[in-house]
Amino acid sequence: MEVRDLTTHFFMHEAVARAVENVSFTLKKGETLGLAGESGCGKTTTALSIMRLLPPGGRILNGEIVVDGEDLVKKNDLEMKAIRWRKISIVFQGAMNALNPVLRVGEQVAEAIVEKEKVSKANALRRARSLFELVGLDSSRVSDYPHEFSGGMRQRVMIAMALACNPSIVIADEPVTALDVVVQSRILELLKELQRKLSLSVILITHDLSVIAETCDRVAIMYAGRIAELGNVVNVYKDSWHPYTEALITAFPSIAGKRRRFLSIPGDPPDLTSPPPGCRFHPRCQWQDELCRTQDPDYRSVAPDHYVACHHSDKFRESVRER
Amino acid sequence: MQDESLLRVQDLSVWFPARRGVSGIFTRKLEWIRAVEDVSFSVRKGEVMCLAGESGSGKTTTARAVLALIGARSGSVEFAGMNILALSKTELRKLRCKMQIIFQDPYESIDPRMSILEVLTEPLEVNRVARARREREDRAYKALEDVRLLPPREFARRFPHELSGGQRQRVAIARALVLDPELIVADEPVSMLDASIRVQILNLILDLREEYNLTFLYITHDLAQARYIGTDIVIMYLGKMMESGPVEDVVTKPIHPYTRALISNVPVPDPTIKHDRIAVKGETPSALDIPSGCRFHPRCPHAEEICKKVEPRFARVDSERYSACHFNERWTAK
Amino acid sequence: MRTLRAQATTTVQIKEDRFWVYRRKISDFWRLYKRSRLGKIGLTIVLAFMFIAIAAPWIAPYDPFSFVGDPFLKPSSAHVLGTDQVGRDILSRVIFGTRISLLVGLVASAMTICLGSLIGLVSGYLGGRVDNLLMRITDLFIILPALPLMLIMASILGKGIMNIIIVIAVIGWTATARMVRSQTMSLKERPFTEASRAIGSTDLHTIARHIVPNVFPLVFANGMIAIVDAILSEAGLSFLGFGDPSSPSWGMVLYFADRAGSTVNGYWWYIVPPGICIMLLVMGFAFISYSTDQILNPRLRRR
Repeated sequence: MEVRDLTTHFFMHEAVARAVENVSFTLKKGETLGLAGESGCGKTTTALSIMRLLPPGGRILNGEIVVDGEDLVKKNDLEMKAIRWRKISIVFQGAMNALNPVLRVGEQVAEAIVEKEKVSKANALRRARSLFELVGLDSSRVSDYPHEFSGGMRQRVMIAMALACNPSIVIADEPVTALDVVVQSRILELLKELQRKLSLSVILITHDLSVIAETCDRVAIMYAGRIAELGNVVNVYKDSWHPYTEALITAFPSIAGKRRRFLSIPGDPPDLTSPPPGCRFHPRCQWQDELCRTQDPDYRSVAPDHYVACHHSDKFRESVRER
Repeated sequence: MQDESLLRVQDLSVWFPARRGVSGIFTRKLEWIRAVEDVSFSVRKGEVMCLAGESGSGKTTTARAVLALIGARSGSVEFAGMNILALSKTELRKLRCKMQIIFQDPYESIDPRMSILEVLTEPLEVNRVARARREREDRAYKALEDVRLLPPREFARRFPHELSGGQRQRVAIARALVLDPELIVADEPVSMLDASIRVQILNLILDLREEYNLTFLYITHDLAQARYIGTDIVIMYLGKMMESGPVEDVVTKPIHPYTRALISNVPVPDPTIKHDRIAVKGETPSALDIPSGCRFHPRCPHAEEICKKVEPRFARVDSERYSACHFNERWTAK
Repeated sequence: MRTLRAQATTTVQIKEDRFWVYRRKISDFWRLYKRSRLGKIGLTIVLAFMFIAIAAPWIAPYDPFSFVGDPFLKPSSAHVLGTDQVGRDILSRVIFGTRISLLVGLVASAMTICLGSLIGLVSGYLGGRVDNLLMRITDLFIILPALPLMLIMASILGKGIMNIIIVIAVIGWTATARMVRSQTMSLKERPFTEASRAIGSTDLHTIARHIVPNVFPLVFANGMIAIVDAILSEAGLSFLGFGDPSSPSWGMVLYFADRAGSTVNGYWWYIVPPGICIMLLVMGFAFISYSTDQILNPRLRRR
């Protein structure tokens, strides 16, 4: 998938929230791309834009989303219906709590299949059973109700539902946030296994940098609707080019490594209805100057397959090296 | 010998009544959810004691019981030499000044209809501390300064919906400080905040601890957080203590199989560090169906016959280390 | 000296700010309310009736209690709605009836709300045995059929507007009580209530400062329905003959109209107007309640 200059705004009564602006990235076949950032940075909006499932008030103003040579932004609703779930599918944030409590889970998964393909309900249920096996659930559990499952198992059901029509791309929005650490590991392992078995390409959205470090091949760090840095996960974490990336990673208490005082990033994430002029991160950045306050930095390549949007990444890297 | 503990919890148990299914309405028999059982620990002045565990471990219930916000079935909580569970309602209220709480949800723990100044002066009014209105306001401003919400007068005028999550949580901390407490119970205070704000608040807590020599009881499910902020830790599972000790020790040299599994599964924000994850089968059982013997045995990769039948003692393994496993020596030998 | 003044300014400023916050809330509320056509219609109707009630002595052509003409006169220019069986002007009686019906409606519902809220608050907050006891009493009142109970009470207490108000209040509090109770119970679990207890508030303080203000919007919406209930109850009681014959409430006019055989003899000008008035006033309050509910309960709001 190739996303170029995606811009999505939310039009509300009083103001316009500039949720996503000029976001560009590629998703390579078979890889896991992480979209990382704090709440409000635009990662979920990006996912919803790709799926064309924006809530009322949201509009894609610009950009292209190219999958298999076709631009999804130009498609109408009918065409998108054929693409959703069959080419690209999504596990929404908190979806495991959105299962209909009065329907059996097998039926709910089968419903997704019947909606999209012309198969009988019986066949769909049979597919649901095999999907359950695929995600590590006992196939006999298709006749159980959601409340009989624990959180981790319900998430597996949601993954099964997302895989129902054999998509090639899966977007997972905060798939493990509400789960206990032990269950979290198992779900992440499941995702890795499924990716291998089914040659999936995965976009993993989360605010948890440690989850990204453990599961993603490449990562895009987003801030206030823009991508601050994009690259191979090792390079981004260990050899950052953007001050925000470094600040974010060092502000994450870790269970390993040396025990030390972490430096926090001063200030708060900006209000997207009136973002700061120039570089959106400048009010919280120690390297900001006149240029940063007035001009938006270009999103440019600084190394093979490594992009940054910062005026002073060289200066910043110098000082890091000195430390 | 002088006991320096500020807080001493002994054999605390909290049980909730439960009626299972429809039959519950007709039968007189009550089932019990043994949410917390026989929890004992002590916290010295100035320490940060972490109660860590996954959901359903009983850590939040323990914290509430320690502050007598919910009723305990048995056990004692000694604070400043008195068993607060045995106090009358009025005596307890008098002691509340010294023990305060910070809640998890910055959006719900402050009454949206009150201005920040009112939120901060309410504890003083209620406890009839600082009779004069000006004195109360002064203390409120001082608290706002302590939590770095400057200028304090400006923030005092605002209402909760005008503040961000991080700012609201600072107000919650200020509210806890305004009564000059000795002990603060913090219930997952940063889990609903953004990553970049979390460390701000954690550092604030550490600074305040130093400045005022405060003692904290810190509840969290995030072991990385516990390691950052804690001095000591108690790992809980299904209402019982599994392991305890100084936090750095427990995290780097865990003894109990549950602790070891837990720590190995915590993701690390460093893609170059690969670590083996100990697989733990199954999921945490419901508190109505507590396994016999050792509560962890159905999921423990090292479970043996005795683990199903006999509950292990919370035994001392080292000068400050305790662990509840039949085979403690096996793990410490490593 | 300067610091003292600065401090005083802050408190004053907060009071002012609070005033502006409420003003803004009210104007926001009004802005949303104006969008609802039903709401505007309802409000107009109710305000119209209130005006009639206040201006009755000047609007009504005759004194409702005196005999101003021959009995059973048909509608004419002198008597727009004709006269009743003893020669009183029906239009004047209907106009003055507005006063009684509105009075009973508002006072009785106010009492209902107060009683119901008090019981609901205490029951919901204290829980346990107190809750059980109060709820069983409430259940009792719910089970007993309202109208027969009202009739019995009315006959025991005797005639008089105050008695009618009391009867309506005593029977009608159950719905409010249940609703306030469940709202209190859910508020009790919210963190800020727990925080209030944690800082050492007495139960009374917590209820007064934190629970009551948050229950209020619900009670207000429910209040409109209570007014409707009260008006209809009064009309019903009076029509059945248990009202106060000396006050010409609409129900009472209906009672006399029925006694005079209006349905049999076709005196539509006697029996229909009071009925229409009741219907309109009730409709007015119902529309207001509907619109208010739409605003206060954000889930009902159409985007």
